[in-house]
Amino acid sequence: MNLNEQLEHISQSLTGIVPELFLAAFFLIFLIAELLLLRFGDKAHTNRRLFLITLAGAVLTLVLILGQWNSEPSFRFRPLLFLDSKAVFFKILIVLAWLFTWLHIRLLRYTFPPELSALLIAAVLGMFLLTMATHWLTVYLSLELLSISSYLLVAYSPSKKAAEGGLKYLLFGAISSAIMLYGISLIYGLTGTLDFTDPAMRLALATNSPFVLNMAMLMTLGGLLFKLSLVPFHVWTPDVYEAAPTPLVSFLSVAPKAAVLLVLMRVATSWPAELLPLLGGIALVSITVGNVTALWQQNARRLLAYSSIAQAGYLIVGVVAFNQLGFEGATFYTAAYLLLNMTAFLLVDLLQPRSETQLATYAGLGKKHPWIAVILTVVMVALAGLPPTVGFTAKWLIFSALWDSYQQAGQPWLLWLLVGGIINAAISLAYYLRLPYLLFFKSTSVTPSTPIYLVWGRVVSGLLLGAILLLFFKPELLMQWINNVSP
Amino acid sequence: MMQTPTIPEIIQLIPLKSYLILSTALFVIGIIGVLIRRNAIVIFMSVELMLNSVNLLLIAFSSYKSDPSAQVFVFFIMAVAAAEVAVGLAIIVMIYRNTRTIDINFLNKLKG
Repeated sequence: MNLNEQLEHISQSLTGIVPELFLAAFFLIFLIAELLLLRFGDKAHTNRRLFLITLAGAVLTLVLILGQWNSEPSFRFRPLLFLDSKAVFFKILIVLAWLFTWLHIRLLRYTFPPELSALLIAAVLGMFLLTMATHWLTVYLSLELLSISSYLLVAYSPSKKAAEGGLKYLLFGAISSAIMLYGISLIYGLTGTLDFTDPAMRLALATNSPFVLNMAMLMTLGGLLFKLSLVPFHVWTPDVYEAAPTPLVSFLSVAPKAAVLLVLMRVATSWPAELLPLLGGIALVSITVGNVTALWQQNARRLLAYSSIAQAGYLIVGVVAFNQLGFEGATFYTAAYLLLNMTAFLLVDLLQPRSETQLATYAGLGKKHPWIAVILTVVMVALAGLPPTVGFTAKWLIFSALWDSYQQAGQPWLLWLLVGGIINAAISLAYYLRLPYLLFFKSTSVTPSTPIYLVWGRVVSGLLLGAILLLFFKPELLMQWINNVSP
Repeated sequence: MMQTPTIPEIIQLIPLKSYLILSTALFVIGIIGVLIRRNAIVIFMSVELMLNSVNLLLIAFSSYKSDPSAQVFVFFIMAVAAAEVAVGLAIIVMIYRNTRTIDINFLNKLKG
């Protein structure tokens, strides 16, 4: 490429990443707007105005992404970023999670410092770049942009344990990204390239002995597994989930996982097949560890944290199956998990507004708030994967993909993963149904705090219930989108 | 390891294997430091040691392959590590204000 062509490529690339450029500008504009409003505006209106600015920015981002829907799959800043409709689909999921977080914050009248909104914008920008990354440099940089904003989100939030949770998050994050970098440097030494879609990387990797290959791959995946909160990089999850306020936990438990899952899919399609047994083992161990440890949790958010470790294991089962249905299933599972998990956090918060979510405080609340409690029961059943909910459809898709893959390849570990996954779905029922049990069959032990949600909380949760049931009876509403994006 | 003929003499004076051993040793020292030290600042120093061993390894590979992309990567790692430590030290100051200690053994409110 000569200089002219390169300049041409750069200007083309810049027009192809408009949503990201917009978010970067929006981050700065938001910070300046916040300073000006705090200086010149009156205190009472500032929060409301800043909220409207964020909302307008999020909606504009959504519009810009929808504008990318029909763009041809092509590289941006070759070979750093690659934009295809899969990336666009995951970006839409991320923006929806962002909007849902705001809905949650507004419904429960949280008063956060305005900087948190700016940090959320930076985190979303990191996730956007992550969905397009095809080079270890961009993976590392966007992962760090996301990580640093999430450390600050946790540490800066107005909660007593925030600093401790933030420090633990940061230490585990820094160590796992150091391990990832060591793996990347080994992979670079083995192959001479950092672009993981380059066929040269797969060929050069395949010539190494299995031990070297597995070690290098496991270390390289460290940073990704940390974000997905998979064993052995899962230790931070329950502490951070307990330390941070519920809306932020709900955001951090879903959106980064969606972005990282797409990177994992890209890595899995371009790396040697030895990666799959490794990922399969990680998935099975994560599902088991998450489910078994969740059994004796005393805090609703810690319980949901261990549940999210197990759910992340199920998320990558679709990638392990490694066929068309598997990738579609994993995408569907991500969307379903986004809906279910964020709804679960919202309902838990609606029942005991802005509390420490100790399980004991939920006893007997089902009689006081029957509507919310019934919906929470449905969501828990859906997270366990029973019909008639979207959770069942999602699990059904990934397990049938795994079964197809077993029939074709005939490797026994695929069958073990399948059996382990199904047994674990049964184990998970035991703790998912604990919250409904407390709500309906125990008598109230503490005086319930006055509920601050009114009509809107019920309306929103009713709509979410509708979506959860609708996607079970008509999964093709979502599947036809997913079929479009994975050609 | 493959070698291209364009590598200057001066680089070849030290074989690639030595770089690999040195950086692995530094990385392992960093991991041990993270595991056994109780002071939050010393843990951050150990993480920095891990990152710098990675930088050394990337530069060694890069000069032995005559390929500049890893050297660019190293600049990014240095910049990001600085950002990470800035956030980390801010959090440590927050904790010190609350508890008057930066010993991580006292961070035991979150358990289970």
